[in-house]
Amino acid sequence: MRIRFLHGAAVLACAVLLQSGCSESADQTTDAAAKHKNGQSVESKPAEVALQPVDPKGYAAVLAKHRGKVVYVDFWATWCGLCRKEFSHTVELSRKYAHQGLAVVSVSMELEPKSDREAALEFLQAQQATFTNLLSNIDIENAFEAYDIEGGALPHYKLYDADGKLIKIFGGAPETPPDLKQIEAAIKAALAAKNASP
Amino acid sequence: MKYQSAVFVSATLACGLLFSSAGLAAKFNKQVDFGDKAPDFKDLEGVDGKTHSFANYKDAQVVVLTFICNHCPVAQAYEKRFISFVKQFKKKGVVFVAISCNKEQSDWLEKMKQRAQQRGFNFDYLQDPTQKVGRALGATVTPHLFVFDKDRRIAYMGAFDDSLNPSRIERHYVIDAVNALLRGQQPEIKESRQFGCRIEYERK
Repeated sequence: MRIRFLHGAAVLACAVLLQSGCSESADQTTDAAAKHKNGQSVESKPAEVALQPVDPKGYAAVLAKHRGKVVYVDFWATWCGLCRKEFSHTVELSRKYAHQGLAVVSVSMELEPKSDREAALEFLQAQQATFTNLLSNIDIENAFEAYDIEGGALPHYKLYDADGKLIKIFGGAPETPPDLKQIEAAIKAALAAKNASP
Repeated sequence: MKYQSAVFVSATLACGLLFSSAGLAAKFNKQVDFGDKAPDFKDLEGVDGKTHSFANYKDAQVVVLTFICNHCPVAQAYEKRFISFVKQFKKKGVVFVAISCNKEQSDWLEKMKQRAQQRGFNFDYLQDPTQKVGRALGATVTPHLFVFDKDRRIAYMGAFDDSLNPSRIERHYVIDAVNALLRGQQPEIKESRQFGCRIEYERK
């Protein structure tokens, strides 16, 4: 915990130094400051790569918190090869579109949420996934139903508009692996729609 | 087939309560529906070095077909359960067959043979390199199970049971479906949401 705190502080300091011109980083700093004020644990600082266990209600609350932004959710798992391979695309989308009002959320669907948590966090850290990372903490066989993962196949991506309405899913089966170009196009369109309305 | 399904859903919504589970369109499969005929695969190579066709199982009372592969931890978690299923149901005229549509190197036939031997598979484990069987049934993940009645129509599809962890199982979907069919009845639960490792179909 202490180490993680120090690590987090170091990452935060570096992030501010290195990317002070970047609005995504500025967002995170503000977020972190706000959290700190509320007395929440250091672990949930978005500037550090953190992983927050949630149940479906917690997931809905996270979505609600992002109301006003277009939200892109990546459902993935450490045991899913294709998820690991394509996760960098999610990171890239966040870097590219966060300043236009895209909030990126990842939800890790581990087979044993408790024991697999560390591996999931390590992966997210390596990916520098400095957005909201969630860990589904309900039994895996219920999670696919609870989060409506079509075809029961990962990766699965959901796109919500600024009003929190689900506008698109990717990875619905029996589709072949989700088309990353289509995903980016849909995000662009959603952002354009959001930024066009007052 | 997709659109047929959509029409079915609306129709079912209108009169679903009247008919209970009979005639309900599949919720978790966009490709096939209950009562659809099994795809008639031919000459798939098995880990036993022979080729297998669906017609070989013509005398079976019930056929349970599952998509699996070597590398998937979810499929692996079910291997023991499949083996005991076969031990229990083979003598009752139930055939259990596993097919892999995966193209990854770790799932190639040679590796399938090794896995089958190591794990002591007591059922046919076949390779479908064209992925046709998986596509025809709308199989999305490993493991994804299909139970066919005597006429080889889909009677159940989805997961094997309701828990990855054997100590938490409450509903044995496939076993219950097979038992119902052996009694000459339709399964009470006809589908569940399958989950596991995505079958990566090649883009056409």
